[in-house]
Amino acid sequence: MAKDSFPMKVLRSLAGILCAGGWLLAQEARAPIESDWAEMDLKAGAYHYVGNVRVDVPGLLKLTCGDLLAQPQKDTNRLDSLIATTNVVIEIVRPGRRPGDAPVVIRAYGERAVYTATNELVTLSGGDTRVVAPQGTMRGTNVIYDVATGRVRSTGHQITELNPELFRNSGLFRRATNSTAVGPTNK
Amino acid sequence: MVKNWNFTLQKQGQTHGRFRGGKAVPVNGLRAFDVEQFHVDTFRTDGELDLTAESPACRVFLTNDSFVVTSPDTLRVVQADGRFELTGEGFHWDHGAQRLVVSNRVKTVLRVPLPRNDQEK
Repeated sequence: MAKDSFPMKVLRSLAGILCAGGWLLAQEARAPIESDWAEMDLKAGAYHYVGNVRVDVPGLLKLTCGDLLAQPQKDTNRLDSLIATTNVVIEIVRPGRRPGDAPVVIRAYGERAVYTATNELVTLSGGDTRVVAPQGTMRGTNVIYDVATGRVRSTGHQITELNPELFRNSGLFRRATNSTAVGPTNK
Repeated sequence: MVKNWNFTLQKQGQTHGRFRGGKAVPVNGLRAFDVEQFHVDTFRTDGELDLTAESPACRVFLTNDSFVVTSPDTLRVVQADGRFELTGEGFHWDHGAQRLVVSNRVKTVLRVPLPRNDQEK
């Protein structure tokens, strides 16, 4: 085929979210999108999936939500935005930090997730918005994932809970809180 | 009623769709047909095969320069290069408006590029 169909662009964009972590596109896989109802405007390039929406890019990304809308840019057939709403759960698998490390699974929860192609930002909001990673959990009014840089930030009131396992070998918490600090002894 | 029919829809000398099927029963004159074993191949503006769609039973409405297919039965659509496949139950396909609505158990399967871990090279 000379160029991608619009659903392919949608999936490439979802897969592209993972590429910030040093993955290269190589093999191909079957990626199903399931829903109760769907409307496809092939002329405008808009796709709307409603009811028990599940997107699975094997080994990379799973998305479940109640409603998924893919909209093109005006006057072009390029993807402008992906809007997932209602009980949004995004599971992203990224490579481990070192060769041989197990893949890292990051889960994001919210009522609404918007991916905007122009600035490559995924904004998660509504409900108990949180991103759960092995390092800890970030909660906030809005959690923003920058696809280009791989950075996550939060706006509004935010809480970060770090996993204590991160400090196991750091020595940071090895000293008892109320014990006498090391100092001169009375001998 | 006709059996084992085929029909080519052309517009300004360009083939838009090739239809074929088993039994076809006219309804509402000659502009609509109840069709069994419906099969249509659609073509892009450059003449290349675009989509193939099949349904065991549906109603086909012929408009002046296009067609509408509707059915409570199953639909299977496959893109010519196999990169896109859709199945579902209950559908309304307005080819002229390029709009497809599938009402139940929609499953789209796309062939997408998978990332390869750079560290594994």
